[in-house]
Amino acid sequence: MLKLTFQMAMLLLFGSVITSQSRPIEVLNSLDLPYADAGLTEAQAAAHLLDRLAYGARPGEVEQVVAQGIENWVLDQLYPDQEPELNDALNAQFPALAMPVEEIGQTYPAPGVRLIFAPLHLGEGNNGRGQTSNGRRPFRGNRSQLRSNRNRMRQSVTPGRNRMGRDSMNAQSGNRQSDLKTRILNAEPAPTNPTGRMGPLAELSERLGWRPLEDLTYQLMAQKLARALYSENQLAETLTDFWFNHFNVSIANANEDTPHVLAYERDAIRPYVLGNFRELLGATAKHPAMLFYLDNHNSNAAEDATPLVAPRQNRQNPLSNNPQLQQFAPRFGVNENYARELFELHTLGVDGGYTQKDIEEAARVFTGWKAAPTLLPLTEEQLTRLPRILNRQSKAIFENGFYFNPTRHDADEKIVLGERFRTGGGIEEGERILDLLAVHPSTARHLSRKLAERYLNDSPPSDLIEAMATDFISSGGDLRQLLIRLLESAAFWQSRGQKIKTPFEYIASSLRSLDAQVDDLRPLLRWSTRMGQPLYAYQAPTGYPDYATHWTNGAALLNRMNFGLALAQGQIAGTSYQALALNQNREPESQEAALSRYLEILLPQRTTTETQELLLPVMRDPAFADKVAQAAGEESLPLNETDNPNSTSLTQVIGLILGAPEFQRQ
Amino acid sequence: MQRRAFLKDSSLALFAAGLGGLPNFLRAAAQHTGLPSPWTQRKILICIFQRGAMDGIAAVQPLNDPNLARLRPGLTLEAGTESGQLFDLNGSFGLHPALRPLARLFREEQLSIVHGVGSPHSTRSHFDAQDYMETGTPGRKGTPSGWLNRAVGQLPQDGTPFRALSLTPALPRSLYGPNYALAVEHLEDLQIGAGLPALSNSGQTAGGFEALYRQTSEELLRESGSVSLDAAQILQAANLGQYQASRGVRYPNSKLGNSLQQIAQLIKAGVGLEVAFAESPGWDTHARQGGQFGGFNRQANDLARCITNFWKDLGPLQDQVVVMTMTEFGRTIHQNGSNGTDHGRGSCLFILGNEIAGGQVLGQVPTLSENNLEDGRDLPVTTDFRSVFAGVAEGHLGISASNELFPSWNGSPLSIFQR
Repeated sequence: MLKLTFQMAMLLLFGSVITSQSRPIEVLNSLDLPYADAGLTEAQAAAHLLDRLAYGARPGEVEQVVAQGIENWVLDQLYPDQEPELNDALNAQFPALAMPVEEIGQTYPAPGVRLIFAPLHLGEGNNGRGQTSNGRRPFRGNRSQLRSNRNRMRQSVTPGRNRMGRDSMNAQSGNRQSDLKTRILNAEPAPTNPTGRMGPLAELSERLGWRPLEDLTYQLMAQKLARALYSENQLAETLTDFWFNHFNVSIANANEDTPHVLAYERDAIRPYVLGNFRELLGATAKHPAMLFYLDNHNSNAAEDATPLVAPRQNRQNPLSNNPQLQQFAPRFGVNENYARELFELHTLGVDGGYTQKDIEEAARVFTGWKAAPTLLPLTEEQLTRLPRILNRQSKAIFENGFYFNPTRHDADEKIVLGERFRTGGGIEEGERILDLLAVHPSTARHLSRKLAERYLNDSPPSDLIEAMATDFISSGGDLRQLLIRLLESAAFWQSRGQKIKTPFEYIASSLRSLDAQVDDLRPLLRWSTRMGQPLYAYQAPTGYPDYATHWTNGAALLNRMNFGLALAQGQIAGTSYQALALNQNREPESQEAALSRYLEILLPQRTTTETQELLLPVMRDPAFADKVAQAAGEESLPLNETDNPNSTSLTQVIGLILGAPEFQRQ
Repeated sequence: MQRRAFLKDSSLALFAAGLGGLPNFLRAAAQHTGLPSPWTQRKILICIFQRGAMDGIAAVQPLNDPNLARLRPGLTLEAGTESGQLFDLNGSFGLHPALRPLARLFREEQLSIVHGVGSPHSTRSHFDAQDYMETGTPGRKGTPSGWLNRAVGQLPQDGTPFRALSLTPALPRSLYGPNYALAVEHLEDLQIGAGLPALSNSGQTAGGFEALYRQTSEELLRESGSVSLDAAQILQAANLGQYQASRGVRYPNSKLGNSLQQIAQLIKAGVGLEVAFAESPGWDTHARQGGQFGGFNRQANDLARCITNFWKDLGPLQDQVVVMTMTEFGRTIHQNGSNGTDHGRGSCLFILGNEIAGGQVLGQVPTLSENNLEDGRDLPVTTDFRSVFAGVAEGHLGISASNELFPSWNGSPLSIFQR
């Protein structure tokens, strides 16, 4: 198997990390944040920023921001420094973060891909150390041997029992263990076999160095929460969340796009969130996760179209006999999914002024834009030869998991949005469409509205949207400029508490407000799923809806109340906090005092009189104290029992605050 | 949903009164409304998605087609009364022996089968086909909502927080959309202080949250928080712990069995369930499909036992309920080299209910000679899945098949219900 050295991996990774940029002094001088006009003190303004541009304030952070200066903090966020220590720590814990996209694809193949490629390795006698018995001709094994190996592999992964009487994939019904999709959504680890014996596929997976897919999706989810908790570049984190959701892809199906979602966020989203929209758009358009997710990978010139380069004849591929492999084998025919969502979701917006004809023609423009075959777990021999072959191909582009296949590109004339693309065009046609879309007035308005909905409230004022759109156009799609316009608006500072937290924001802000120690991220990720937001797993290309009713509808708040209680009482495995340390280790003199003190600590600079008024009578109820005493007397807290310094009455107050309506707002 | 809408349904008050757990607002509501029909009589649709694509020809096999023994010798069975033989449904089709528990329901005209069901879009990718089936828009991935969610939006009355429920860790694509739907794997997670031993019996934190949410001045959080608390109260009053399956009912310990048992629990508790979604994974039988220990056998047996036990568990409540299965596509008519089948086109689905025109095999299955097969390999799709879904939505839930339910579809709903 291909294994890049660590140094090479770091080199590749650092090629894509946000680079620190020098701050233009004119921005510093001109940044004008009108919080005072909106009636906010500096401390309130700081708290508002930490609620919105960050995942909530940590203890003492409001004071820090005030001391640093509001404008300086905003500039730090707009021009973030690298965080090598955090990155090192994350890479150490989550090794996939340091792998190039191709290595991820080869290390964590999707289940269907394993099924196809494990026999290929067997068939070529590959023993996992890169030796092939039939090295000269990639894709050509001994056919009958290949077929019989394939069948053996299939038998090992289809419903049925192996000798241990267990399901070989643990994915079938009639089994207590959850299926792969459920494990992914719940951030559960891959099941381990207690006897230490494995089915043939698992055994071969190990020999070939393939890791369970749920290891990868866990790393993806976990690094998001870890960064939300520990990164100082909080604006970049919230923007990464926003833009990922805008250009949504999903791990929900555990199919061939799933292994690439981690690299997608890392390489196509995060580096560009404070850059130029055109670069962000281009990076998403060429990333394998998007190419698979919206099917452009399977979009080919129609049979009667003229391809840019005529395909070579007589090139046989024995694997095309495999029906499961058909999705990898090029077939004639255009797929419009990407083109449609590119117009409707990524750029112009649903009423952005395009026709069905534009979509059809644009889809032809993007034919041949594919994920590279080197993302698949090929044999060592193939991985050595394939790049050479692809690079030699006339007019082909092959880089970072992207492959422009000129033999599948429709080179006939097209007209998109009134622009004529002449016969014989190649990859530059798609680039040109992205250029057009990136600075289109409809795009400017669509993006401005969505960003304002994210950072201001669910129905931002239209004059602000117009102002943002104007800046977007005049700056050529500068995303930083878009944010500055938003932060310089009065409306932004008048919107305190008007946005309901998403479940993820709620979890992150709860943990940050308690300065919690997190040793196990899995239970917290599972809570996000329970509250309706499995991370990276919104199946539709729209991404999660960004309005309050989506998150609060029906019985959805029940799990938030439960999360608040569970967290406060130390009932979430692997997460703990010191309740008294939040108050400089001073115990409040009464429950009333505890309530008002901890409201200040957990909801800094927020008006909490209502919460206090509603809770006080409850707490003054004599039965309340009795019940608290009764509850405290029960030795039933199973977790942290040796180290549970928090008094029950205090944790109850904290639980109520975290679960309260006020804490759901930001 | 809005609390206002929730309140309007005063039959909930009757339910709660019956169980002694009457929330204050319901007491007030009950006083100034009449006595509408209890919503324990509302119609309930249970959808079971068989993920992985069920082999419809193995499930419900044409009996008199000589092509089958030739094209799938290892998977073709004879009809008869012995174990391992097909149950002759109507002289033309035989039910797979593993599905035998369903035979009685068919004979008693509670169960019908629609054959040759599928999508007009010819994708053979599980994910795309599931996506298209769940959105109800073949060929269109970006449709933001699922067809079941749109159906919920067209239900004629208001509902409770338990109106639309999926027994899955996350909402399925079918239930994405503007109308509220709840996804939960384990019902016990829906209680205040769930999993908190020190608090689970004391209730005072619920009291604390009651005050915080029911009286907060912020309207949205007041309404939705109250619905949440009502839901917890409803479940508490429903006393799910008291649930016992009906006599002789034994649910298989499988994903589907656990889901259907919890659905039965909610139906019996009368909490206002109207649309429920459950999953049965593992139908992708590429190898070793046939035989007594084959993958299909095990899946089919689980499905049949889950459904029949669920149906028995419901007892007199059956009248309210229709169960419909669905699967993304069928499988190749030819068996492959490993005694399995690969991704195909048309499959079949089951519809169970006391008011359906039962005991029928609807739809068309042509003679399975090569020139009749789609792309020379698959059971052709003769019934658009939307026409079945629309027929069930119309006949059972009273929802008219409009462009709202299935955008840009102009087919007509299949007639499945007794007239």
